[in-house]
Amino acid sequence: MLRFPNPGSTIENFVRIYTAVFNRLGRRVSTLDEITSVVVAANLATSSGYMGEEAIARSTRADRSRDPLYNQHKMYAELFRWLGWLHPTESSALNYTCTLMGEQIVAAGSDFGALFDECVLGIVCPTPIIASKGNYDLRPFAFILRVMSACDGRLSRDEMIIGPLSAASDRGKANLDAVVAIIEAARESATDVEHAVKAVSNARKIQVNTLQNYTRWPIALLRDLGWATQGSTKFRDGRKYRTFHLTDKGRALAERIGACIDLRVDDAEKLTPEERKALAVVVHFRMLERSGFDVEPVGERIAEAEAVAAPVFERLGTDGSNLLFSPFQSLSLGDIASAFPERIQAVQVEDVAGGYAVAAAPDGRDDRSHLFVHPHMVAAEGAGMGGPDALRAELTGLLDEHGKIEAAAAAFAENHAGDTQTAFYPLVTHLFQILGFESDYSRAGVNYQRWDACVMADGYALPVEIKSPTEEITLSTKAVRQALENKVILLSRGGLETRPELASLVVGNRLPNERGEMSNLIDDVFKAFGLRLGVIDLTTLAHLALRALCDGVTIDARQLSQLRGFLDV
Amino acid sequence: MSDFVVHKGRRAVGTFARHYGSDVTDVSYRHGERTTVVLADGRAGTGSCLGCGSAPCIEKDESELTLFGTLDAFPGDPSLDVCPTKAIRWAGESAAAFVVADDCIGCGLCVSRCPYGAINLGDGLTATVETTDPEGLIVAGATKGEHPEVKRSGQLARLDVPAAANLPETVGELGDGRTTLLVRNLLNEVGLNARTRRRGDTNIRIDAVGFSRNERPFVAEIETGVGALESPRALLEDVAVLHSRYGYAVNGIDPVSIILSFPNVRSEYYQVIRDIEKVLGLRCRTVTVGALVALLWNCARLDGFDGDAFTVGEGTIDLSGCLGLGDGKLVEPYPGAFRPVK
Repeated sequence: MLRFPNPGSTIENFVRIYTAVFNRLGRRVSTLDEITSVVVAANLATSSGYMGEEAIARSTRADRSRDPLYNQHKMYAELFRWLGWLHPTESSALNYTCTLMGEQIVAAGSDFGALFDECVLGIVCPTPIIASKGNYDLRPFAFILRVMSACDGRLSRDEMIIGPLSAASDRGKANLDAVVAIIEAARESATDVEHAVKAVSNARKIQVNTLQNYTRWPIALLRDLGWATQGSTKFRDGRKYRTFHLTDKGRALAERIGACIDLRVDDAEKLTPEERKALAVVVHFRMLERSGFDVEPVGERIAEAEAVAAPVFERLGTDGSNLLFSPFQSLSLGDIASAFPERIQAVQVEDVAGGYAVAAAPDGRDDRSHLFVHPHMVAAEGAGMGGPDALRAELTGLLDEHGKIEAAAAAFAENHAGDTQTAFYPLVTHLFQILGFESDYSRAGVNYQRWDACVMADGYALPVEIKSPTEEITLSTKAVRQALENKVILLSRGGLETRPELASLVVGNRLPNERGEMSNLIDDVFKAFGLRLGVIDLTTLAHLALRALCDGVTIDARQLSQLRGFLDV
Repeated sequence: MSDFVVHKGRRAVGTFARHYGSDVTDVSYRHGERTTVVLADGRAGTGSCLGCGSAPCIEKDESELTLFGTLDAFPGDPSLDVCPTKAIRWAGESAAAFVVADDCIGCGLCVSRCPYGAINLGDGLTATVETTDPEGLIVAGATKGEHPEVKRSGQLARLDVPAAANLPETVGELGDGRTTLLVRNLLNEVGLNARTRRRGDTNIRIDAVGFSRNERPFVAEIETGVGALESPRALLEDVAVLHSRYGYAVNGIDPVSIILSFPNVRSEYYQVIRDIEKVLGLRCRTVTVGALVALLWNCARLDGFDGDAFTVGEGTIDLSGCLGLGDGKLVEPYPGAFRPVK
């Protein structure tokens, strides 16, 4: 499948980012670090919720593959290259220059839309500008429109995966018909499309989620360029699913493409250098003319090029106006330099002031060790005695089977990975009961009690926000925010005795891998309001319950009620 | 010869395709009628598009999005569009703005920004750009200059205009990005220094930040759907972030929910706001899109969120008293704009 990275942006921001790069770096040769630096300086990128130099400091890692800002701008650079706005240099694929096409996008200001359309239709694979994995012969976005047009004017994300983005070639009617047939077959039911996506996943050895991520940028383009709008349609078995539907503009573009002669990289390579040069000039300015630019001042240059390209047009059976070919996206750097010699980039110059200091911060993240709290276990009467017999039996059974508490706790969490609210809420309270704490869950429909459960520690209530695995596989910051609200509501409305300095807890299936945002929220809330938010995942809670069953110990009630951060066994 | 070519829609800031031959001093609006201007030389009449290069009806100047102090680092939406649906555009050939009627949502933003009284909202709440110069105020020929400071008065549209009842549905169909742009621009036009979050930046959760006219910072959650009920909770996080990362004192920040319509009077929304005030001493305010539109249509300013303004905790909830648009109980442009629907 053709892979487009997703830097997570609207096309408006996308153009803004390119504009910032162009305005500050112009035609000079630049590195990815310099591009990152100017985008951050223009306040168009953040890291971990921080801006400016602080963002760079927090993002920068000695291991560049884990540096979020660097990776994000690598994605931008790749997409800018697909669009013909940024080119690698002859000497290095990691050094870039802004192109004349990019300069024209900047010059269009807020009227960039029409030229952006042209550039998206100009994306072609293979191209000398960018190396992509796989052996494809595709003009992907033109093909998406053609396929949508042939499939009742609509396409879903998964149909995009199994259809136009996975085809080896889009040339000719047979290839189009083959893709349409795949999509039509998958439209029988959700299961059919799921199987078809899985087949792509297996064939390419790429996770389904990753395949879906590759469609994010194409979908954003369809939406933001006004080619398609979101809607829904039904499988033949009657079940609804989400689709994107061609707009009038999208349909008009699809029709235009149908009437175009699609000239690819290998076709251009068959021309003489002079013909290629002339073709590049004519087609480039025609693209600009269609996009609302005034090409009259270069009329003479276009006429000269048209004269040279006339035999080519004759061979192709066109006057040149309906050619689908974008020189800055299809020709080699040498050919482009030959056609637009004025635009050959300057040699590499000195670093931009305030460039990206990579070595300064091997890992710029905050020290979050204060948020990882190792439980202090204490002997307690009643520890391991409470809770339902069946749950105690399940835990001891797992311990017998696995031998070690860690393995048994992990197996316990795995056994409950499919629990819904109905099963999970009581489960959490029962685990606290095994730990020797009084605990109960709120009944559904009791709106004034926002918390899902409470735990009594030293006679005071700790509200608990619970997220079952079917609600959230990994806990989100939303759950932590709800825990904050639970505490405020409990303090305001009463009903259970508590104190402001005692924690509000969150219990869920798993902690997220990237805990930066959650950690920041816990720290920010404590700093602003002095309120403590504690997070416990199911494996940890099961681990503690197993300790209670085995050793008659429990977590120190004072530590639990003062928890700020993540309980970490 | 240069290979670079210029876009036909490009407008040069500071230029005018036509002019009045005298500065505009007053712009006056009257519901359903064309906007009128008074000129410094005493002439007066219907305004017309002067084809000004900066086109403030279409595009903001970047300086308008600058925030005071450290808050300027907030990663705001860089869009300079005035119209959330880009309904107002530029016709290069005639050097004049025009409105695509089907795309116009009738908010009045473009009308309120034209310093030359060239745009009006018709009875059906569709903006129209006047180009015919019916009273012959225009002097032919291009010129250069800056926009004058004008005094605006009157009413762009009456609050009881039937078309206003469609606003909730129209705004509801906009989608998050365009709704946020509408709100930012409304806040700006009623006098607040505000910036909304850049779309796609998931690191920043605050929807909007800014300063009221007394330079007191505010944070805002923009929720035009059912998410309104969760906005007080999100405001707590916003206040925490503004305090922790930007250094503003917690009790110096105004948390504001910007919603489309007030929830039902029995909604938990009001109770949670009361809980927050009781426990944390934070007074969450509520402003509706309808209230902002009402201010804009009446050429009124929003000073900020002092005292009881826009609080919805205790007692009767009615925003009309906070808007400074007269003493009586104002008619709502749509149900829920000023008062909870019963």
